[in-house]
Amino acid sequence: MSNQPANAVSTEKLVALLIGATESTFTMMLDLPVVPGGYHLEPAIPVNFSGIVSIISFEGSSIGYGRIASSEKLACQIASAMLMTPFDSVTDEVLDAMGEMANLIIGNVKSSLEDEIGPLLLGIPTVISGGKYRTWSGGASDWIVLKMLCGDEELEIRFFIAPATKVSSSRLEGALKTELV
Amino acid sequence: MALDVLIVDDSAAIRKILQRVLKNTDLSLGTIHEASDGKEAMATLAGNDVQLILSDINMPNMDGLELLAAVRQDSKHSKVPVVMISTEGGQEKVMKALELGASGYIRKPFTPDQIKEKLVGIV
Repeated sequence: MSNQPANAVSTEKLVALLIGATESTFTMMLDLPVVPGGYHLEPAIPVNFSGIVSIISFEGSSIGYGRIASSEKLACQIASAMLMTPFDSVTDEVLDAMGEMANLIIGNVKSSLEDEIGPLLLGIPTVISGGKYRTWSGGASDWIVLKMLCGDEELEIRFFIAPATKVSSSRLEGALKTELV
Repeated sequence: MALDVLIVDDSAAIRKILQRVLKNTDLSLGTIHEASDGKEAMATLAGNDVQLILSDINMPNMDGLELLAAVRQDSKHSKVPVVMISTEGGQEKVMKALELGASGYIRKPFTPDQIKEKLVGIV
């Protein structure tokens, strides 16, 4: 196992890993179709959102975040498929299912990266729901913003990674802010 | 003989999925216990006999590898099959789990058939 810095992993490879992890999660755990809808890079700017957001961090030789965001409708659809129980409104079980989606998708990407950049420790998902809110994430590097399409709905995956020497853990703790709009 | 099982995962969704998968196998099941972390799992094992443990790795309080090591030291359950089910798929983690005495390792995401096939070889 090598210990290359995180910036040794290209954006294209990170996107491919995110797409692969999302597709395998949707296929194996949900039996729902999903296709890539394109990606772009975005600097750390406030983002308004209304829906369900699931965030998970990781740290080690590199540190970063993964953020999975969807409408309440898609979150209910995902939970219904995962738990084989119909959900037409957001409940604790729907939130738990979305937390697990972040764990599955970002966790898989993390595991795939470890062979190149060394061991990484995955955190525990945090799920935010209800109302309109704004999130802001710090860090000098751009975030990857990937859209995955599930029928008429869109799952947005945001991913950030940087070498641990560039962003300290304490700064990263304060780097993700969420406030109601 | 009915198989009593302990499912250990901090995700209620995963615990529910694994319950459903177990019930769809040909295994003769007894009681299915659940725990949300290793500490809770050890408390469950203190008061119950189980014949199979399915455990995640990344959990708060006591993670799956710590639980595995503790189970292998436990006089009542040291020989019970423990299958790790985790997003951790790196070779180092898998080897560590096997060294600690894991009976099998399944990477998440998984299909129900993958769980069933793994259990057929173990139980």
